[in-house]
Amino acid sequence: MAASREDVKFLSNPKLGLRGKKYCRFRKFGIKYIDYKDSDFLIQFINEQGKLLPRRITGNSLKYQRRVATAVKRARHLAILPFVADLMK
Amino acid sequence: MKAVFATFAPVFHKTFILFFNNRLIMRHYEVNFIVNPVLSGDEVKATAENIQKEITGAGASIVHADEMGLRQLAYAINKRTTGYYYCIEFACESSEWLVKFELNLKRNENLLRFLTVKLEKYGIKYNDDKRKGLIGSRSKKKESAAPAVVASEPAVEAVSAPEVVDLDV
Repeated sequence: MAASREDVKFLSNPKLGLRGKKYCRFRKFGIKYIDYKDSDFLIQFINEQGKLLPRRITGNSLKYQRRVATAVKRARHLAILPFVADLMK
Repeated sequence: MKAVFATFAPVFHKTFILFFNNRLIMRHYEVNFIVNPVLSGDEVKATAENIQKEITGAGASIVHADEMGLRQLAYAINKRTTGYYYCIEFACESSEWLVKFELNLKRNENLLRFLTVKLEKYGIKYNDDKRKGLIGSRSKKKESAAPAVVASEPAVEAVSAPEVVDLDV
């Protein structure tokens, strides 16, 4: 009475390693310009302390990560985003 | 090789000048500034108008002047937590006067902050689309549609509710 094959299969979660591949949303959706005045958009790229998230997490391409960085820095200068924060999100 | 280039050089030069005349010689800039909220409404408007006059006086044409109004600052600047935001987009041919212009902004005591940014072609297009209402409309529509649905559902419930009460009684 060996366990059937299906039982063996579901001993571990089959969806464990199947997270979708990261992608650059600017490339995918054709966003060419990042508005530094749009705080709701830029908030996606900073953590709750107001720090920039790495490319490793957001999946941005290098070109757009640089542009996100300048946009966030401009927004910080204009007091649209904070330099330091606690529990921003 | 040199001779070939020399013969074609005037042609290249001409196309280059044409290209610059058509596309690039009008540079678009965007100046943002935050006016001190302690000033009265008229003074705030006067400072914004003075800056606009300075821009037009230097030979630039104002594309759009956006008054974003009183906004909360993300952090205190000079012990102020709010400020009047302005954003003016302008186009000009020469950029030499901008150094002087920024110096004047720096000396202006009515301003808390300012930032001048050169717009690339996509930036110009983005601002143009934004003014036409093409950008952000989708999310706004969703936001406006969602409360409407929510509002209609309680209305239906409100109508049906008395009937249920009657049945219970």
